[in-house]
Amino acid sequence: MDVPDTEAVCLTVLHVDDASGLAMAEEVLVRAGIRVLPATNGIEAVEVFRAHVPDFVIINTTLSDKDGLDCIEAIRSLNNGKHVPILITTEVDDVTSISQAYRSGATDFLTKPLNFLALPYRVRYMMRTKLSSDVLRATEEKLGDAQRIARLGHWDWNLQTQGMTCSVGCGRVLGLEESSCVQSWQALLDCIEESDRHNVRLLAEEAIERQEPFNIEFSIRANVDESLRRIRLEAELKFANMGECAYVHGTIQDITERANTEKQIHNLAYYDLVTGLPNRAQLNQQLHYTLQTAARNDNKFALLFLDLDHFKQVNDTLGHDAGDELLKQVSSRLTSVIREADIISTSTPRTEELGSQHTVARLGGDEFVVLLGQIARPEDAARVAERIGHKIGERYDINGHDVAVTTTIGISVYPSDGDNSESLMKSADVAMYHAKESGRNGYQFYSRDIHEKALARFSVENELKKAIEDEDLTIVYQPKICFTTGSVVGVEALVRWDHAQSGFIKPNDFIPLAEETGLILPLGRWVMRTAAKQMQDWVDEGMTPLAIAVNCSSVQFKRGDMLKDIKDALVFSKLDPKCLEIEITESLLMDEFEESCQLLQGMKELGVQVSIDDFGTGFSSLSYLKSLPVDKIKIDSSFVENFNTDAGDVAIVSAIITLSHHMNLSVVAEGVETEEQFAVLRNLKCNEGQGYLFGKPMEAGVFRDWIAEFRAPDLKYASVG
Amino acid sequence: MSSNLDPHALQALAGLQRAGMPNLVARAIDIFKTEWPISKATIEEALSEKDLKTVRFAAHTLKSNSAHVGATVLADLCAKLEFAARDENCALCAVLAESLNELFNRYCVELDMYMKNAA
Repeated sequence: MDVPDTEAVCLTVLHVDDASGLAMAEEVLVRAGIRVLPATNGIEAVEVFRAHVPDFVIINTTLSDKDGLDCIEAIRSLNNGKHVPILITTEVDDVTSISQAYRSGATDFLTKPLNFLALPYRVRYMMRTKLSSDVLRATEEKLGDAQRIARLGHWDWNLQTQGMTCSVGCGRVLGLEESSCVQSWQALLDCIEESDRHNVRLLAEEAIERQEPFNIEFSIRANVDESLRRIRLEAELKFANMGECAYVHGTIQDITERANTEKQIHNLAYYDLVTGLPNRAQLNQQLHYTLQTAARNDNKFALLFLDLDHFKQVNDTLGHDAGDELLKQVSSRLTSVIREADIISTSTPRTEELGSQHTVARLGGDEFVVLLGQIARPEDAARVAERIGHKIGERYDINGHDVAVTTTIGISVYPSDGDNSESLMKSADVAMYHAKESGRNGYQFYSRDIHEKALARFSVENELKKAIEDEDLTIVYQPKICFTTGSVVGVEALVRWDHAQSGFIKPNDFIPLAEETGLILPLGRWVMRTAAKQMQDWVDEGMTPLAIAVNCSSVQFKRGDMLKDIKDALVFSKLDPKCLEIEITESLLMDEFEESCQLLQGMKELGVQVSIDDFGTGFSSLSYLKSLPVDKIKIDSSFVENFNTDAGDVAIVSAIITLSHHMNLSVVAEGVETEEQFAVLRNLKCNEGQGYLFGKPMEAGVFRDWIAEFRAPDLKYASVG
Repeated sequence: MSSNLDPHALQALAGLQRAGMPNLVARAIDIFKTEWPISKATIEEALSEKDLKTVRFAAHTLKSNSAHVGATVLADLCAKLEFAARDENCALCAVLAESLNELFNRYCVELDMYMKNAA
């Protein structure tokens, strides 16, 4: 917009002065083509201004009836008086009046005596400035309007002071109250929703570090109306003379409507309208991520393909609306099962990655797919399928009608049943038809082998769970003998499962399963409580107190609350804490050394003994042992077993014993079965031993009789010169 | 006390004269003479009521009118009265106001002479 030529414009000046001042000024102003509206006092001046709206005002600040300052303020308060130039005339030494006049709204000042001849030039000059300001203001208003319409604001961020200056539009975009504004980068970050805040801070810092422009989208909660708004921030960097980034400036824009529209379009494209579940397109995308994640992390995942048995009958008899309602309720049940899937399926926690997420999708009709983004083993999928079958099979209330449906599920597992989306979907589909052939309302893995193994394992798992709940497991006790006195000094508690149908099941066959499924936690607690109680019962019956050792699994150590379990067992049994010994494997300690130290320290504070089991089979770092609060180490039976054939094993055991004694650790040898082994160990100054030579693991009653009859071994035979 | 018209002030005034318009110097002298008794009466009344704000404004007007017609000494005296009123020095105001008339009358005579000579 061009600035008008003030020479060409006929200006009107309101002049407020005494008679002589008016007379002289009029002469020069009129001669310069300027129309003069005279007023001799402030009240008259305001009236003249109202009536004629002049382009310019000259006020002598020393007016008789109304102070010149009041007159300036009165004119400024008028609608047309906000931007009119006001020139004041004042005494040369009246500095106070000048500053007061500026505060009241004066534009400029002249001191007396006036150079009247120069007055028209001053008026024209000030008018030109005023018209330029008008143009600037009009441009700013238009820009402001444009920014308001575009829901845009602009800002500057001084990197040195961290201060920000923001346009009015910024406050509007951020939904701030009119009185508040953002004055620092931190204040802007504080406006951002917590879920986005860290990301915005990080992206901006990284871009500034790389000296690159950046743009970020984030959400904010507007103060003015509590609405959630989507904001896009665009920024460019400004550099100082030395080339360093000094300022960042940019815009913020409210893109809520656009974001909502995009979301709506996305929803229409990727979600099923009836149920709100992801559709085939969204499932394919998720499957793509899952395949990538699984390949990268060497994970397993499963696809469950399911349809509703006899859904068509519901549609045909109750109508499509009822059919849709049934699909909605089925979807809701599937979603709730998936929400619980981590609890009911995997023993190892899933990663947070997008590709590990579980998804329920509707393919169309009555076909659904459940993608279990990460499973530890196929049985996890079987368990979820079982749960889905059960949940879908519960009755439905469809518009007052009692409806029952069942579902048939086909399961494919990555990578064994396919390594891409198509093959996995096809395998799950084929598996579902097999399941239908073998009778509806069930599930079937694509691979017969996996199906049978999963079922078998699932069955064992259920039985083990029941055995733990029903306390059908038993504990056997194996004595430990002191190599100095030959007396019984301790006993190790070992769990046994005598299955009603399958007979005796070895610990090696069911302990790993218990660990995988988390059943080890209740099992471990039960063993500790029962063994501690047994020892206390024996003591109550008059037996000399012995240290009773229980094994601690890595799952108990990492996922359970060991200290609480120990405390509970001690309270329950009333056993002296020093009679309870916790055996922990060496490899477990080395895995998470820091955490292990803390836990062991906690155990020592409870007063129980701690021993390192299977020593020599893992990393076997004696230097690590030095910093662990343990009482004894147990040499693995494999070393003792080979004493006769492998001189190296004797040397290793000898070294372990010597170093352990230097660290004041007692040494127990496992698997002592022959007199020769016993003799070698005694010679090496091993402190204790356990094995068939002294006593097999025995049931409680048998152990009590055994110890009553126990005679210390003849130590003289056990010594080799 | 001597009184002399400032010729530069009157020349400056004449320099502002528009062609074809009433004589500006004569107009200024007329304003000087006709406003004097009004402002002087205002000052005296205000002094009796100790209204120094009114004294200040009236003295300012007399000061301007005097300065425009070259009555420099009278303008200085009016300025002193204006400042005494601003400083709320009532006694000084009374003395200064008292001495104004004589000086005014002498300037009137000199201005009449000036106009007569100019004609």
